[in-house]
Amino acid sequence: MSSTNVDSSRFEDENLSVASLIFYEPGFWEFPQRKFMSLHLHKVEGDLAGEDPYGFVLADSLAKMSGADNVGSTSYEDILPKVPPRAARLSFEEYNRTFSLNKVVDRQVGEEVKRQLQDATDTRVAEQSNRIIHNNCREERSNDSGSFDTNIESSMTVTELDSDEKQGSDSLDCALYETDIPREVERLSPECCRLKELLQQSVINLERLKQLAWHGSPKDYRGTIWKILLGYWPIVNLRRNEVVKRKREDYRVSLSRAFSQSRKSETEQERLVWRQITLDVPRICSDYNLFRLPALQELLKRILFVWSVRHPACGYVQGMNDILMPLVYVLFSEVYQTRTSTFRPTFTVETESFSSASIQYVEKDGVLNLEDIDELNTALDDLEADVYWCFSSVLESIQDFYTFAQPGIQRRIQLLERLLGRVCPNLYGHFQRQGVELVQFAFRWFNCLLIRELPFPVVIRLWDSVLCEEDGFGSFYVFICASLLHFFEKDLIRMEFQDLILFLQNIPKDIWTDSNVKILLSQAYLWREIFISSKSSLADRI
Amino acid sequence: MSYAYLFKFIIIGDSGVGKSCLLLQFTDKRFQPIHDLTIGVEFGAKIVQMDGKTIKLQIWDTAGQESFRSITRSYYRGAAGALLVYDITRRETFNHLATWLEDARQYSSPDMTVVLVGNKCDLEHRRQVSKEEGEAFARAHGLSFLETSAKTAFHVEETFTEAARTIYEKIKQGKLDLNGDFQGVKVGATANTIQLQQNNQDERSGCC
Repeated sequence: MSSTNVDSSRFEDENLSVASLIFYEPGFWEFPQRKFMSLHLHKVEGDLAGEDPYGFVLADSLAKMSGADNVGSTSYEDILPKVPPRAARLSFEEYNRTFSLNKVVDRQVGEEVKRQLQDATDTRVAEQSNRIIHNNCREERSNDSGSFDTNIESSMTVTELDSDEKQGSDSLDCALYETDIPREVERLSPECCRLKELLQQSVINLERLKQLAWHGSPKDYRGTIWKILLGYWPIVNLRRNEVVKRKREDYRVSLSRAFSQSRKSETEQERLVWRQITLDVPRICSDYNLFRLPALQELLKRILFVWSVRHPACGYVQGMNDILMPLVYVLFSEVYQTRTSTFRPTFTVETESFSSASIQYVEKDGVLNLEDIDELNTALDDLEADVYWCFSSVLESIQDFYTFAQPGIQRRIQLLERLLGRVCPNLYGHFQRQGVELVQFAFRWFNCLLIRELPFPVVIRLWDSVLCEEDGFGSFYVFICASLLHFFEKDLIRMEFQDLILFLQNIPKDIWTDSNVKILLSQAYLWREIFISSKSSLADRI
Repeated sequence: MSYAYLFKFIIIGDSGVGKSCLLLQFTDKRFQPIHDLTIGVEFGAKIVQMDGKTIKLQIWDTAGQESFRSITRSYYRGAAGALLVYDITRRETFNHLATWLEDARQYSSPDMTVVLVGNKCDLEHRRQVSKEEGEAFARAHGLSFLETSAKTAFHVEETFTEAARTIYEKIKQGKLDLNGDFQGVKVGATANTIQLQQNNQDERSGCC
C-alpha cells in the first residue's frame, strides 16, 4: 500500500527514524490505532534505549497525535499525511499517457464512487464530492444524456481539465476518479472538499484548518489559507472585507509617508536602507520570471522599505527579500492563475501524492507574464498591501533575527546544536571532530528561512505546514533544520571539513520529491513533539 | 588530498563590490552577472602550487552589509590573509576602506596579510577611483594592491596567489609562529623541507 520503494535505502539505516517508520511501514494505514502506538513505542525504546524519559514523552505525544486533543478530528490519519494514492506512483508523463489512453470511464468505478460516498459518515462531504463529480462530468453529460449508467467517452487531457474554468484542483482530483480505484477517490478528494467547505464557513475553525492544511494546501486555496493562517484575514467571514480594506488603507498611508518628499524625519539610516534595498532587489537570483519583472521589483523595494521604516530596530537585513518571495508567488498566483490556464509541471518528480498540494504544482512561469503587468494597476496596489501584511506577519515572531547582532539567529543555532547533540549524536560528534561549527552554514538557513537551501516549490510546501504551527518560523524551523541534517546524515558523516561546508552551503536540490518533503516535515514534527510539547524535563534541556 | 600548507583567507569590503564574484571566478573560473546576496559567510576552496608545493586555500567570503558585521568579525581571527575589496566605480566603497581596515586590524591577528583589491576595472568608463589613489592608500597602510575584474578574470588568480605568496614568504622567513596563536595557517604532511629551513635559521640565530 505505501510506497516502500520510493527510497528504500533509508530503511536500511539502523537508526531508522520514527517518522520514516510511520510513513513506510507496509500496511500501516490499515493498522488499528493501538497497534500503531505500541509498535512505534517499541521501536523508539529500541532506538533510544537507556534514556527512557522518551517512552513517556512519546506516548504522550503520540496520544496527542492520535486525536486526543484534536477538535473534530477522527483519527491519527487526520494528523499524518494521507495515504498515497495509487496514481501518485506514476510519474507525470506516465500519468498523462495513461490518462489520455484510458478514455472509457469505467462504469463500475462510477457506481463504486457513489456507493462509497453514500457510506461516508459526513454527508456534507458526500454532497460536496458529488457536486464535484457532477461538475466535472457536465461535459460528458452535455454530449450524452446519461450519467454514470452509461459508458462515457472522455477525451479531456489534464491540461484541458485544469483550464476548465475555476475548477482547478477539483478537476485534477476528479481526473483520478476516471483512472483510479475508488479507494483513492475516497482518500483524496474529501480532503479538498473539507478544506473548501471549511473556508466557506462564516466562522472558520482555525484548529481544523491547521490540521488539514498541515498536509499541504491545494494550490487553489493556498493564498486564502496562508492569509488566514498568517492572521491577515479574520476568521469571521463577514469581517473580512472591512479588515482587508482597513489594512490596505493603512499600508497606503505608510507608503505615502515613507516616500513623501517633504518628510523631514527621514534619517541617515533610512537613506542608507533605501540605497541598500535598491542595490539588492535587482540582485535577487531566481529562475522564476515573476521576480525579474521591473514592476514587481519596484513593489518588493517598497514593501521592504516600508517594513524597515516601521520597524527601525530591525531595519533592513539582506535575506528579507528572499522571505518575500514565497508570499509574492502564492498571493500573485492566487489572483492570476485564472488567466494562465496552461498546466505545466515545473519538473517531473516521482510523486507520492497526486494532490494539488504537490510540489509539482508550483509553476515556474505560470504566474504572470510581461504582458499581464499592464493589466494589473489597482489590483497590483491591493496585492502589494496584502503581501506587505503577510510579510509583516511572518517577520513578527522572528524580529530578533534581524535586530542588532542578530541574537535570535544565534539563539536558534544554539538550540539546533543542542538538539543535534541529542538526536544525531554521531553527526554532531563528526562535526566537532572536523571543526565544523553550525553557524558556518546554519546562519543562512535561519536568516533566509531555508529559501536558499531548498527548491522553491519545496519551500512553498514547507510553509504550508510551518504556517500551521505555533511559532512556526521561530521554533518549528529549528526542528526542520535538524531534520534536514538528519536527512543527509549518511552522506555528511563521510565528509571532511571542506566538503561538509561546501555541501551544507549548497545542498543538492534535485533530490526532493513529495515523499522526501514529508519525511523532512514529519521528522521535525516528531522531534518537536518530543522536545517541546511535552512537559518532560527534556524540554528544559533543549 | 595531502598539502604542504593550508591558508585561511577572508574577503571583506562593502556590499556589492564583487567579493563573491571574485571568489567564484577564482574557484570555478566563471562569472555570474547576477549573484545572490551573500548572507553571513560563504565558503570556497582551491589548491595552488608554489615552489612545487601544494597549498590549499580555504576562503571565507563575508557579507558586506553592516548588519552581518558581528558574525563576519568572528572569521577575522582565524585568517592568514584578507582581500580588502572596493569597487572602482563607486567612490563610497573606497571611502569606507579605512573603517574596514581598522576593523580587520582590531579583530584579526597582527600578522594577517592584507591585499587591497580595486574590482570592476573592466568598467573603465564608469571609474570613480583612480588607480593612483588605490596605490596611494595601499602604500600608506603597507598593503599589496591590484586592480581586478571578476568579469574578465583579469588579475583574479594573481590576487589570491599574491596573498598566498606573501604568507608563504613569511613562513619561509620564520616570521609567522605556526606553533603559537596564529590560526590562519595549518601545516600539512608535506611541509617538512621548509620547517627544516626554519629550524636551521633558529639555530643560527641562537649561535649568534
